[in-house]
Amino acid sequence: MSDYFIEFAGQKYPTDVQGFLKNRLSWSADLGRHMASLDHVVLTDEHWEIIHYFREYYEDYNIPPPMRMVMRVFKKAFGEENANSRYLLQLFPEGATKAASKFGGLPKPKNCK
Amino acid sequence: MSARKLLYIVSRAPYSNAVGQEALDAALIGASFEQDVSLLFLHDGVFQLVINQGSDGSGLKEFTKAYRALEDFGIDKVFCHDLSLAARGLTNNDLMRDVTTLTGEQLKSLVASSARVFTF
Amino acid sequence: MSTLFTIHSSWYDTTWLFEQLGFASEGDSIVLLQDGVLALRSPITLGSFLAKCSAHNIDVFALADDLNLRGITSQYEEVGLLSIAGFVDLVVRHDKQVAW
Repeated sequence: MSDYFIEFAGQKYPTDVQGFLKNRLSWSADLGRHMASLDHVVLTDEHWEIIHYFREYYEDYNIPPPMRMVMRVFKKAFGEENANSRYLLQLFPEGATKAASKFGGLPKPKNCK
Repeated sequence: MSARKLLYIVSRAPYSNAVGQEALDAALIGASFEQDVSLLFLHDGVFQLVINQGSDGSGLKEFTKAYRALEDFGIDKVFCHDLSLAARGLTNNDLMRDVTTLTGEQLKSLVASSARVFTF
Repeated sequence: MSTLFTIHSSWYDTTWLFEQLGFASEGDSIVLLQDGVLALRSPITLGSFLAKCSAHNIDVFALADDLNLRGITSQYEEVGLLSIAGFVDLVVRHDKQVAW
């Protein structure tokens, strides 16, 4: 049994010490929204675009996507002018890779602290 | 600084040890620093790329899926030693991704022309 | 760019590597160390490997300490015995190392 967990809708979800889900299959969008709120982030359409991309990419390759692929998807969805790394950092102040993985129920990326 | 030619060689099969994951991590780090990365599968290392690996129920992560996404991370030179494949009854059709097969002589040239070689 | 190849594992796990001369090229060197020196006790002769290395101008060495530790005496004149200091010299003389 994990020492850390998130309690949501009457269920306990085991996490690591930083709040990344132990079992990504137990994730739901509602749980993701709750996890974000614990980090004081309100998820918008822009957030969800990125989170879903991370989940799909991880499903295919078992690894989070590299940032340049994330930017490509972001530009496609929201236009060249809105999609830059500064805007992405505003969305995810903790860093897009770390936060999108976390709110998407994926394990902590290796290159994140 | 111009990109240096870095060669990562995997010569063991996946899952009973961590060398595949370690080689993958190391190669991705090399590529993230915009070095000229080559990844070579040699000897039992060619088993890393075999299709239809299923880690369901084993509790192990099928980390080898990432080999299909190497281009996204800036690694587009992926090689297999031709005799290593043949000796194990494998052809390109048994592999999860496109690779360039190398003869022993070509492999020697690749090693000789690389600035650094990391073996796993 | 010359390369120093080091073979660390037993011959019995690395015959495939010996068959390929460790993928060394002309002007490179091969050093047998740790369990790599067990090759010098192999009942299968190393003669053809050493002859091929010699033909390709590849020098072959073994670390003397590792032989002594394992009670092995080299019966091959072509294999140069190295002290640690000699090994260090060899490392410095090559541009890079490949550890098998």
